[in-house]
Amino acid sequence: MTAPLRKAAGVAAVVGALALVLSGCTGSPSSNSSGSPAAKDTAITIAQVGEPAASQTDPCDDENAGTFMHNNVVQALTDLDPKSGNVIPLLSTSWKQTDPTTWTFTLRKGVKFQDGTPFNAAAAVYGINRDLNNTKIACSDTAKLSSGVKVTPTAIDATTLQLKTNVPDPILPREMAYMDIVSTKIPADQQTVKPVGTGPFTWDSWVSGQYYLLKAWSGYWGKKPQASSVKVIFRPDATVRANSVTTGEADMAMGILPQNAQSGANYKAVTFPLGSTVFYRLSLQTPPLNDIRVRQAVQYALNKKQITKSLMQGIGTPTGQMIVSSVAGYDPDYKAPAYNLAKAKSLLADAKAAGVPVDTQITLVGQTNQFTNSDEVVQGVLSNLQAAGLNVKLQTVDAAQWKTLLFKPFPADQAPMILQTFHKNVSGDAASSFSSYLASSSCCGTAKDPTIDSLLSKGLQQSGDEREATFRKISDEEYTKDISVVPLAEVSAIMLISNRISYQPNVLTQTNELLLSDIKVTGK
Amino acid sequence: MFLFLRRRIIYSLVALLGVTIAVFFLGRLNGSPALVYLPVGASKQQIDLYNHQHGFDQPLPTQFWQFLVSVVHFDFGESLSQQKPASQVIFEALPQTLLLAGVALLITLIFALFLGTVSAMKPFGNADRSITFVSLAIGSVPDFWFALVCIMFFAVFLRLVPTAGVAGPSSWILPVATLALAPIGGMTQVVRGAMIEALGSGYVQNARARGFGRWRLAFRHSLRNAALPIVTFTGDRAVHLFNGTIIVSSVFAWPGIGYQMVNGVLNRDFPVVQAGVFIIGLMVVIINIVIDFAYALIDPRVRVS
Repeated sequence: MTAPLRKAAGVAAVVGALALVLSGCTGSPSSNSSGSPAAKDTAITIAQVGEPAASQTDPCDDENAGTFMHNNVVQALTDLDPKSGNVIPLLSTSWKQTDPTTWTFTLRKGVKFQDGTPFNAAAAVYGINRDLNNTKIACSDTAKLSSGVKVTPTAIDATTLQLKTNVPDPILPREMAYMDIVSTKIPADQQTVKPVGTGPFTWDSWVSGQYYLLKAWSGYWGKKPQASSVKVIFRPDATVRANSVTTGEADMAMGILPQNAQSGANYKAVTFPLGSTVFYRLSLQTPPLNDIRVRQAVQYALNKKQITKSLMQGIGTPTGQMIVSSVAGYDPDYKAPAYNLAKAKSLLADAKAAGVPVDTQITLVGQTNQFTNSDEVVQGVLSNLQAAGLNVKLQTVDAAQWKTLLFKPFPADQAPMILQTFHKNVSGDAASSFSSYLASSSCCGTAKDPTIDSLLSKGLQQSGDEREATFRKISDEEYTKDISVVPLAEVSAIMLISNRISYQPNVLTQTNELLLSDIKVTGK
Repeated sequence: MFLFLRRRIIYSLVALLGVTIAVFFLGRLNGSPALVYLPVGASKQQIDLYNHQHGFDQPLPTQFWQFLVSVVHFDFGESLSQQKPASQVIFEALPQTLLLAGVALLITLIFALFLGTVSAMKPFGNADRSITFVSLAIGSVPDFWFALVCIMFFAVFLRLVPTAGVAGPSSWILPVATLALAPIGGMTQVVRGAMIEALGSGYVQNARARGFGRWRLAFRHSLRNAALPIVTFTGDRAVHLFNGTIIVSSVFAWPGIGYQMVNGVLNRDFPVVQAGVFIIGLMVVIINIVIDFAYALIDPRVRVS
């Protein structure tokens, strides 16, 4: 080899060697093992889509990391039964409403945080204030309370906690299922990337870009988990994520595409409900969508069966409501308009005859990778709407741009828009969905209907059957009179699970909590 | 020589500054980070608090001035998504990227020099036709497709290597192969062209007449004079390898700069994107200067001009 070429090769070699040294300095990522040799037998690896932002590992803002954080590392006063949707005890053993704005919780005895701090009413006050009354850090947990509700916690004695609200909140115990309580040693004025709670796993380590590791905690107050540790690896590519299970590198992979959902000799594909829906939010401010006939035409134009069958491939079920059937407030008697292209065309013709500019261009907005096969679904909807005779163009945006379009205030001269929305209701109660999308004061709704506002205000004060009946009236008002949203489908998800472990995913698994204690290690 | 280098450095720094400014403003055209980090339903107070905490409530010119002052001190601010200095995020990822790109470049050079030279020793012979066909083919293969095919074949069917991630030496094989494949194809053709010209020159004919062996003629005497286009192309490929690591980060979950940059863009993590662009830009500038320097060393005409 000649001298200049040796130099070129030398440059490459030096760059490589330098990087190797630097790499050594920062520590080998793979060197961080998951435990002792004995512990490895029950160590579990789970492949998930992406890495959460550091801020989202704080229990008060655990939107993305919550799946592995909530009820695994940190816990709340109550929990939700994924099968029945009922509120069940967790850090509190019982609760009662002593007056319309006061709830009293009896706390579990003998519970400690993972740092040894005792859990008692004072700690609960600290944790709840950190979540809900925090002016130093922005906590997403506040959005899980009913609209306008403020909570003031007070320790009555070591095991008695009183929560006072500014207005009656009959579903406060349900909402408390999301308010994770951290150790009093976790500062309240800054977000933490090392949460400490009372759950069965500790948040052990996080190697950016590669994985985070949870380890079973021997001091847990409840039933000990079988897995000694859980390593959550990040695999952005869907096919690679699926292959991580088929090759035995991971025991479980989440967010599997229908096309990769084949069971094999050593693993199985499991479909489970997400508790989420896809719906289309129509802008009501400007023509032609401000005309009820045009909005009805959109309802009739959507061929939900065809879209869910061919484009969602088994992970979508046609629906006429923005909440899933397991959410309190779902109306089982409501029948959504069935696909009827002729009817849609007829409605548009009527509107046009009445002077509505139905030829005005409408922008159908989709978000990239909003849910499984979302890009294909929005194309299908575009095709349906165009077939009905609407002048629709498709615009695809990323998550941040989508949120810009989602939130109020809307521009006064906003062009007609249909926004594809993927909505999950984790509370199990319609109040949060209706407050966000149907109320005049909502963050993200386009309708301004005094009837709905009045019903919602009334429903928020009610409980049980009365509350559900009121919410059904809201549904009737929205889906038949306002039509500011046109629901498409309830969405399911798919995961691959190796035969080495046993786990049955549920409605909370992917969007809220994957209870690692429920995983049984059945093989080596 | 000094003037030549000084001129190149000044041009490069101006380009670097331009790219950094463009990234600052283009990033902010595309939505507020508050909408990424705060959930649907966040109150206006929460959004205002977030914007205030991160300085996004300041006028854009003020933000830009603060940014410029900080960059001079190599301070790109705190990462919005990782809660540590953005420069630290990039520097922690840099070794993985440098090592991957360095190994891929080394393998590219080894394969391309050998194949290109063998190809040029007998133009249009069977070996040349075969190597040309293969090099053109692999030079045209999309890297993301090649990566997925490799995973299916070597990881899923043969179980020889891991599908993705960093878990030992075997996990480097597919990312390196993906990064090196297309450059090997392209550089083989460059080496072939340069070597055909060098092997056809008078001094080589003379040496051949004196009885030098063909391998010695090719690798010891001709390669030196074919070096200029090869060195230039090597520099060009080195820069492109940084881009290639973005594909690798996505498919192979490789935790390098590409991974941090893609996440930074998706998460509206302005400090990380700005630090990444600046540091990658700086490295491209350094590589180009090294190549220019090498070019000037190899060819005296460059120094004179």
